Amino acid sequence: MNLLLWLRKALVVWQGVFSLLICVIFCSVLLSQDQSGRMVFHQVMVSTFLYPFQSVLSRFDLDFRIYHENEALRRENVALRTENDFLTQSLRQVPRLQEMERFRENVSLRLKPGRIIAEDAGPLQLTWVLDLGKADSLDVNMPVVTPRGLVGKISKCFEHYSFVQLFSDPAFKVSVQVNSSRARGMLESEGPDQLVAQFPAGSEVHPGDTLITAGLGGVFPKGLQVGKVSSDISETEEQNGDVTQSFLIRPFQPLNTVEEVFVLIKQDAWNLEEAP
Amino acid sequence: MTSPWKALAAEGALLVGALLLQQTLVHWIALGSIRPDITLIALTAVALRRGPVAGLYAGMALGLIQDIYAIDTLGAGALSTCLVGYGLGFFEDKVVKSMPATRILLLGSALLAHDIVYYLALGFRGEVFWGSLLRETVPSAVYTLLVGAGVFYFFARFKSRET
Repeated sequence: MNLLLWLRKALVVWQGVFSLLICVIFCSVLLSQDQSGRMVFHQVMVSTFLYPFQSVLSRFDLDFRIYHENEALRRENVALRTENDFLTQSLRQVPRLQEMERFRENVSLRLKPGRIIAEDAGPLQLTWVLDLGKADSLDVNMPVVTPRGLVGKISKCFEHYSFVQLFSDPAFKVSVQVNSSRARGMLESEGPDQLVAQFPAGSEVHPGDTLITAGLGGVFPKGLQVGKVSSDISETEEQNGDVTQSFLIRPFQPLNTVEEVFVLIKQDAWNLEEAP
Repeated sequence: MTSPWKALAAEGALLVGALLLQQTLVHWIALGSIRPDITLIALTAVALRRGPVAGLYAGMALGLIQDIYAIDTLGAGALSTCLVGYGLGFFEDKVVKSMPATRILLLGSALLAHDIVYYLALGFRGEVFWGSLLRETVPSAVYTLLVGAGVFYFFARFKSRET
């Protein structure tokens, strides 16, 4: 019993020395090992003691790498999507431009292609801004058309851009005639998507008839395509003593799909001025 | 968790953190083969706080883990680090009131002692021994002392602010 107590006390007092001795002996044993013995120790330590730590660290490292790779891929994906969108838009532009080119070749008029760079933000599309101006030989009152038909006229012209007054503007008026019966009338806008043409009562106008410009106002040349008479016919009414018939007109060129237009470079056919 | 266990956990984390830094980030700040010994700085801090036995086992663990991947020098690192840890422990805070400057002095001594034991354990003698000591040990010791000085002064200031 006394021996055990003595041993315990000795262990407490001499624990540092014992520990040092044990460590030194252990290290000496390691140092005395030959290459194969060291390899065995290395493999045992790596596969048992270090494996869990390495596994956790590797997992973190892997997660970290995957996170960064994911970030890089997402950035690349956004860049590729944007590039793809640009390319898609360019491809979609090709048929439109081809159609415009064909139209320009077939028409003997002097046409200047332009791009819409802005439009008014109101519910009614009344005005566009074109990327053409006086520097491109544009002037006020020049007709603006697409291969499908009339869309408006130049209302203001600056050096490098200009405003287009569209046929949806209630202040826009153009003389038109029915292509088949040659009956003449006046086209104007009465609200969003509501083009109305008024003809003298009894004119030979039928749903499905094509309307073209009559060329009477001096602004638009004769024969520009405008639209078709809709099947929806308004009732006969009396205005200013004249009996007229109103027809709803469906334009050939819906305004909300236009991106490029032609400006018809021309001088006014005539100007109404008082004689001196 | 009670305070002693917290302190123990913090010191364990310090040793593990130092080991991870030594194995991963130190090569970024290495000047050729001259690199600071972060593990020895951590061992100095632990041994001065815990005494010779803790310093011995901490040094043994650190040295052994570093030796696992150095098959040719297996045992030498563990032996030198555990002896240094044991020796530093005799200057623990309870016995010697160590200021940051004293700690740096002890760290410098520990670095020299560590490498001397290490080279002797590997059987370096004569010119090879002195050459390694001058080319490797002294520059690395200076580098480690600079890093260690920063660390010790930082913790001393941190501690004085807390108190």
